[in-house]
Amino acid sequence: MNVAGTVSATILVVALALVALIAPFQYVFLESELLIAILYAMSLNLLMGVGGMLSLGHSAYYAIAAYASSLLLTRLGWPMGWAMVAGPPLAAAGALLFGAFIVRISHREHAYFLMLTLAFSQLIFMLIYKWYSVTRGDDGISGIDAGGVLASPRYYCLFTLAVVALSMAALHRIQISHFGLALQAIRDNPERASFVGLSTRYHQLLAFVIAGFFAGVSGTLYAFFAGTISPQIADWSASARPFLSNVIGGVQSFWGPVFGVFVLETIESQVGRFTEHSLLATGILALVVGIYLPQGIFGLLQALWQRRRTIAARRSKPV
Amino acid sequence: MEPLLTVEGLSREFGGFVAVDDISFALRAGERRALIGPNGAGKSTLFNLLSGRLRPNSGSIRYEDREIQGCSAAEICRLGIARTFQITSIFSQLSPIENVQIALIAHRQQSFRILRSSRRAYLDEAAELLAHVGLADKHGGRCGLLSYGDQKRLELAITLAMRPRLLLLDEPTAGMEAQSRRDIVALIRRLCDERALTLLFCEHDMESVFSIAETVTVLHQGRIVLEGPPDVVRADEMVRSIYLGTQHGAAS
Repeated sequence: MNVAGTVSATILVVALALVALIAPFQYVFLESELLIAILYAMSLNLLMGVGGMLSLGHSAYYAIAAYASSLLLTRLGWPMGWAMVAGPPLAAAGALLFGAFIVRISHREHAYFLMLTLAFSQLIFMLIYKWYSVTRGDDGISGIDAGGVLASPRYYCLFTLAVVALSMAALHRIQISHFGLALQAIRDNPERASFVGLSTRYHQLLAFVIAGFFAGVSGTLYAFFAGTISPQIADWSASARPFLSNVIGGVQSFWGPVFGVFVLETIESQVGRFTEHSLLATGILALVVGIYLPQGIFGLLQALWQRRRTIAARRSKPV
Repeated sequence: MEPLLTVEGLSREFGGFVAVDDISFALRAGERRALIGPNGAGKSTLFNLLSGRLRPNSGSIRYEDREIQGCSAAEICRLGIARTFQITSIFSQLSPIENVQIALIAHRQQSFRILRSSRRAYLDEAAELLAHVGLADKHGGRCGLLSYGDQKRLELAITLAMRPRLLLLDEPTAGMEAQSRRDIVALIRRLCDERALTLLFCEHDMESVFSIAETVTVLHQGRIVLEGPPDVVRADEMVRSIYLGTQHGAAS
């Protein structure tokens, strides 16, 4: 990242930390919730934006980590720290297992890719739903309490902020890395990619593992934030949220999914005040963006900003 | 001298249609050979077999001291065989310089490095390669927006980044107008000279064929019907009749 980027990111993190420490509790909760949703959407962006692989099954990895860490804590009595640390790697292992099957199809076959990712996540959903003796099925798991200083919502929010900021820095680094460029090349033209000597499947599989890991980080943070979890976090509608955040915000820019999370949240809280059918508004927006704005709302804003700058530059030039 | 590439008894059929029928030839190191023949003669299929895009039904392909007919496209690339496509194949969302950078990264097997930034990866070398194919001033922007001729040049730069010994060019001047065609021909000749490349290319434009090739192989209906220096092939009656279609009384 350049200097300006680093400075603005630092300012943003400090501002968010201040909100966590002094704002009324409702905003602290909102901040934690949004940060977790942002990381969830960003992890999917590595697949959708950088890799061009549409996935409607990202909730699988989120749920694996959430359930794994919660079960380790509540049933096996692991200390909180270890239970949390175990979540993301287990999600990554799940992504490795499922990804190995999924990347056998070309990511250009969007429909098949969507169906297969969806099918695997429904597998996890059913597993959680039906395996009552372990997961408590529809009853869900409760008593996932963050202990120590993290028991305070303010400190838990700070902790979430730190983890999400570090994860996003890592995802940004991965996106601009050698591997990130290879992934983009495969997205654009898988045939040319193999004809420069890249093994497309292994790169796509690693993308799945990394995306699964960070979805797992987000899922673990959620479990300890909410204190209770239920199978709904693995359901397909849970996968649709980060998917729509990416589509609406814009998959091709790093901040697109972040923007999308805010748009979704705003629709839900504002439209939700008038009607319980706020999902309808989300759907219509996704449709409009999908058809008319392939780069998402953030992409549109970027293009407008770019245009304004070129016009301004042209004006300031002496004729 | 030991040939660089030896093809023996290579065949490939598609549902009963024999596209490549028992083809054998050898390419010595440094040779420049053109593959000509009417549409459907089997040129593209042969290229796809050599580059690992297709598997042969029978026959062998020997490159240096390895049999490569069972290798994947990526493996064949890493052995030093690079190709271009009839329909130019580049990474259209990436910038020209990134296109070359990723080829360099792949060639050095650095593509799994998840923490090392690619922004400056092999930048000088990539710029040099772009300059080499005449794209010195075109580093940025989406390369999908380049002109058709520049995209062809970029594809050449990508293949060169893989440091190939054998270059397979599938209709390098297809769809170009006369001047840019001559430019590309001059470029290919220069690259082959400077980098001691072995070249196999198919081409419909005879002017290009005769100004690049030392040897010409004529394919017809999946078989090699003639092989020889350009003069001989140019003068051959049978080649003329194949191209003009007089053999079947149907000029196209």
